[in-house]
Amino acid sequence: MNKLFQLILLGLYASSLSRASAEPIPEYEMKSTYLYYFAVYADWDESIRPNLNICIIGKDLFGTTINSLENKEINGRRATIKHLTNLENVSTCQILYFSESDLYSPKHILSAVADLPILTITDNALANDFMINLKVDKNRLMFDINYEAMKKNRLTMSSKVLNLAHRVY
Amino acid sequence: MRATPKFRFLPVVLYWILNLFFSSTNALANPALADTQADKPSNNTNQNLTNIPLEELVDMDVTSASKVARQISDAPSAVSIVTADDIRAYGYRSIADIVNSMPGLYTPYDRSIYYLGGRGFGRSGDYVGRVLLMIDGYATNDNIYNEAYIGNDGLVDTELIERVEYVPGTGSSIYGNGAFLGIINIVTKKGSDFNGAQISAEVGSYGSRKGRVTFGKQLENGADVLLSASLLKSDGQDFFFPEFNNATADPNFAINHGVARNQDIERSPRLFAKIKFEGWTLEGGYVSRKHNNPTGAYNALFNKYTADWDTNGYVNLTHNDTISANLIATTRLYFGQYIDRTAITDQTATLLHEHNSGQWAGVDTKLVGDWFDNHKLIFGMEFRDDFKLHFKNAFNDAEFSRNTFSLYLQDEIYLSSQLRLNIGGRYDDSTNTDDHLSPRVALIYSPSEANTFKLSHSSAYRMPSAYEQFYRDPTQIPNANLKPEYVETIEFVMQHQFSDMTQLSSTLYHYETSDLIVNNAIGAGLNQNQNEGSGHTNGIEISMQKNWGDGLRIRGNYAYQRAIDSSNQHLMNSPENLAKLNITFPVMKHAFRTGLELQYTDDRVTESLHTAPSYTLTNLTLTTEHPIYHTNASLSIRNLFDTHYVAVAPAGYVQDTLQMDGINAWLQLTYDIQ
Repeated sequence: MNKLFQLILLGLYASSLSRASAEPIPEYEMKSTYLYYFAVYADWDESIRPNLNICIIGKDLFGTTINSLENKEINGRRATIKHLTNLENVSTCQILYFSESDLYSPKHILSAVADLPILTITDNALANDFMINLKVDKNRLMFDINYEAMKKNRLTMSSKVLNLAHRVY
Repeated sequence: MRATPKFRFLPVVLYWILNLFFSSTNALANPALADTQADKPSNNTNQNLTNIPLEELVDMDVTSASKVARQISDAPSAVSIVTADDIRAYGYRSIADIVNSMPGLYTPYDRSIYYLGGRGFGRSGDYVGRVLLMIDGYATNDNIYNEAYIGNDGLVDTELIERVEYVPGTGSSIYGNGAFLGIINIVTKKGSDFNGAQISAEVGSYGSRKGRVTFGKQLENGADVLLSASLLKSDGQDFFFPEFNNATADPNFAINHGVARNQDIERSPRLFAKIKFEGWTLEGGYVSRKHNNPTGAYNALFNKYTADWDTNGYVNLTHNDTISANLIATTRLYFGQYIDRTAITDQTATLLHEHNSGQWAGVDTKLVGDWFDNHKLIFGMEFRDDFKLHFKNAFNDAEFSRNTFSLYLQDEIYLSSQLRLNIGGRYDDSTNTDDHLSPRVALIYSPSEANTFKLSHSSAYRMPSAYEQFYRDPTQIPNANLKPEYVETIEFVMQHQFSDMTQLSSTLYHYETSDLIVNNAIGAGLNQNQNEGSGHTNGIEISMQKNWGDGLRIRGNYAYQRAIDSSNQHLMNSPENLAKLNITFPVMKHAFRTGLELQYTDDRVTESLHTAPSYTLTNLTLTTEHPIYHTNASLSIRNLFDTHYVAVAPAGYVQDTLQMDGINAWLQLTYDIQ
């Protein structure tokens, strides 16, 4: 009887193995890769500068994952990672990433950006006025694009990315 | 017996202080989401990820930092985590070292075996413990003694550990037998964490040395491979036991002037392998630890060869499958084996051998479904066949078996965005002992991201170990009617995560135990295990953790536990207060890291109802923060101030207490070949 049980269970077991699934990616590794694609597909509509500055304000939750973007060539420009300790030099950034901070509120940061052509990206659900909002849902990294805000700051995004967004508004 | 409530107000006072400290930082902090510790970036695939088009990336699974943290706070208890970084920073060399830093856990050593104590239970000699020890989801406790092996008899080298999670409280509603007071889960590293070969050479006090070779890599086809082998050897110490130097009282007790010479020799080889490929993980471990017992315990002839020899091995095949967007299945197929080859030289100078061995296999399928908006369902079944339970000694040779079929179900109901009800239970039907249902109900209230309150009520059980039920020798007779032990608990947890860098949690619990298995003298020089004991434990656990951006990390915890048996006596070897403090920070411009550890253990009642005094231990570790010429070094000094302290000896020992090690050192060099 037990042998029969074992056989049934083994059968059930075998039948559950039919699908293969890939190894999941650590969240911040995926986020830094998304950052790369946003840099590739965004258009700053400004005179071409040699550097593309990706700035992080507040706490850096990327760890080392962001380092692989350093010096990467993106549309003929060299990507540079900058950790901002204050908002004074924010105008040198092409991308500004914000997770969380004890010192700066999302509102604070956006008022420093004002109408500068800076692509603001966040994964902080409280910072919903940023241009791109990243969020993890059902083990997928999804993003919303606030395209009105992008246009206001003279930025555009390839339709390829817009089509993949969870929500565009 | 003891009536010295000197610490009665300490818990309350400490709690106040901690609360004040944390509430002052609260105003500045952001109600944050993630635990950066949890999202330790792996160094492998980023380069490749930018080669994958975005349209494919959006459909790939991510393991989220916040999810790891949330998964933990989902458990209706306050989970403690020790990471690989901590293991390195504090020079942890065994699972016992790791769990010793966790709230309310302690690991009494009887000079041969480490026992795992927690939540009031910590009697030396109590092999079964009451905590389930798992490696990557596989329950490692053997099926003869139900023992969790945490010393050099443990299954993995600490260098292979990614993190260790301690989930205090009952876990039987999901894990069934043995998850009585808590679960410790060891998560091992991936091959890609090594990305090449690593060679380690270690030397330590008492003629200890260890070598390890590890190879880990993610192969071109995506398969991740980790292989490791190690060998530990130790000459050990010579011990003076005054109990065996008492010629005036008893000439027979003046053996070798009470000195046990060359009776602390130890040898422990280990093997570990893990292969991950497309949702499949095949993992196996092996350890065979032989150690002389120098104490003359269990009626052995003093200063003559007596040894514990424990061999454990397992193979665990896991498959994770996302069946649909709403259904994830995890199936495990496992096999385990244990051999106990104890040798004792008895009083007539005859060498007696034990050969007790067990084998088991099982299959466990667990499904997680979220079809309904406000429900998360977990259900599964497990079949386990302990097909070999073999006892062989000079007096008896008998073999038994046991089958267990289990069903479990849990539903997490979202009553509102802030309030969740977690309700579930597990039914275990086992041959040769009573079937059992272990229910749990928990209410989880999160008024904000930063604050969580959990109230749970649950029951758990532990089957008698095969040893308790079937073992026979000239002084011990089996009890076929032995039933499981039960515990019923109420637990209240408050967790405050002020930012990703600061968290505080506190737990209040009440345990009622019943049908505890007690080894009773039944006359004619015979003993038998019977369901007789009961008692209750009240406790408080407070733990805090704060990390600073510059590499300073502080963890501290305090546990108060008052464990009383049915005759209103303190449980044996149950310290009322335990406090631990861990501080680590980089020194010399981040070239090195210092790990400082302080551990306070309150006094305990011994088997002869004496008091073993309290003590505070200090351990100091210095490690290289980054490799120098591919080489990392780690120097640990344990018991830095050479504190004199004792452990409570088990029943069956001549000694009432055993003196523990003074100051001792351990040096490790590792070389990476990439």
